[in-house]
Amino acid sequence: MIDAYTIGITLALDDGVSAGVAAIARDLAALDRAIDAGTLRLTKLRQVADGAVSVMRPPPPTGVVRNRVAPVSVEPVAAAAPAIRATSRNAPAQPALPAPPVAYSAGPAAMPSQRNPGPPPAAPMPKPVPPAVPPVVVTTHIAPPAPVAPIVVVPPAADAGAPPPAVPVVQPAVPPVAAPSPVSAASVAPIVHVVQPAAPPPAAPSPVPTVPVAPAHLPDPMPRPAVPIAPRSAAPLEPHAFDLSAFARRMVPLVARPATQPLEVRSSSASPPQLRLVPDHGVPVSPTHLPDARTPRALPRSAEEDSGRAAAPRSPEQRWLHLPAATSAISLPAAPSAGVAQMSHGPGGGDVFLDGVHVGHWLSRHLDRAANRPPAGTTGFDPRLSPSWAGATVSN
Amino acid sequence: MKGSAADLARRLAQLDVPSTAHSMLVREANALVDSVRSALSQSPGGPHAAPWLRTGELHDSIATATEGDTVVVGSTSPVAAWQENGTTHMRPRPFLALVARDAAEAIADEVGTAVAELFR
Repeated sequence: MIDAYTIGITLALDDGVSAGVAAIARDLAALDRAIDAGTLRLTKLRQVADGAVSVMRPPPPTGVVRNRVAPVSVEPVAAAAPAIRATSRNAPAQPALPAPPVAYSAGPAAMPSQRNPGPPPAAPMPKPVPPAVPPVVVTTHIAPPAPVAPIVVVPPAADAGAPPPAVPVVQPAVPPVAAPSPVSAASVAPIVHVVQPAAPPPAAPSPVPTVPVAPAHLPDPMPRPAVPIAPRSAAPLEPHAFDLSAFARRMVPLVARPATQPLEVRSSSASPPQLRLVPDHGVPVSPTHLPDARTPRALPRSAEEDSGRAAAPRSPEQRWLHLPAATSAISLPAAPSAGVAQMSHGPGGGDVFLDGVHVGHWLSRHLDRAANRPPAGTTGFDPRLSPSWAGATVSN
Repeated sequence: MKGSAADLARRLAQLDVPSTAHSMLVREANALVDSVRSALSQSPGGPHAAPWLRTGELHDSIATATEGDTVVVGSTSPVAAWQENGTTHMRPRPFLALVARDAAEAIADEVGTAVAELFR
């Protein structure tokens, strides 16, 4: 029919909406199935959770006393019931209270208000217990708000001389704080515990002022003797320029002290001055008399200067007053009689110290000598002028 | 959520988009036929861009034909092609293409609006 037209306008409909709607409908159906499955699983999970919660859930808090044990009935005081046992499982421990002159015994279950139709309740109603509290078991309305040990109330009419009949003691579920021994009403009396803070025992005055032992950060390899040391000033160190002469003057009195142990001070040019305390007797040395490690150190001196100074004879005090600035080892003798003879120079105890300043000086001198040597007749680069490195072939 | 998804899926499945679009397309094609016939209603005399209405043959030959999602608005008269495309002795006087061009946007809008009304 369309071919019959000699000329015409074609209106074509490109329906993409139907396909899209079908896809959306399929997605919604899938979503619905997923929701069904999720709902089913959620229901099962909820059932499991409900079961778990019901196991863990404490009994609902009640303002009314729940009776779980033997019911209680009221009987007159003069009744034949010899004793009453009032047990409380949840009440906290507290001093025993005087029991009212009424006797109670186990009987049919009744609410506290129903149990005492005549006299008003002697004790206030127990307050609602938080849910987290263990189950509450109160057998009588006179149960104190705090747990107490099982109480056996003896009626006044009973013979005081005759011992009460043995009644099995019901142990509370919550372990009481006090000893769970039965307490008779005759002996029950308000007990007031006056808790006072425990005062520390008076410190015995020390006959000799002592100073705390060496700081914790200092090594203390040897046992510390119980030698009291005069207190020293614990003023903090202030950064200042290290005056070696002043330091030496301050160290002189230490030399004169007979009980002072050697003090070895070592310093190297490669790192800031390191102070090493080597106690002989374990007596700590106060670091307040030592220079601050952060203070700048003097420039190193050459070996010739050191050797020349070392060669000059000096008195012991002059030695301390003119200590070498670098690569120095200061030893304080233990006694003035020992004198300077006990001074130890250089590393000891197997320590190996490689002074970078000395190495540098040696290298510079070596290169200086090598450069000042007359030419050997060859031209070119002299390999001896170059510093050697580890593994390099050394040829002289 | 579950009820909403299921209900929405059910409502979507109930939508008849193809038939709605097709019916709207046919309706618009008939409206286009009326527009074309209106363009062929000019009496002879004076300058004219469309063919004159003399015998009414071309006017009455305008019709629609539907085949699937396609609707054709045309004429079975041999004069229609001459008038639309022109000849060596006659300049073209298009009466179909120009009307369809002017009405194309309105036709698409009407069909789309009708389909969209299904989702409301």
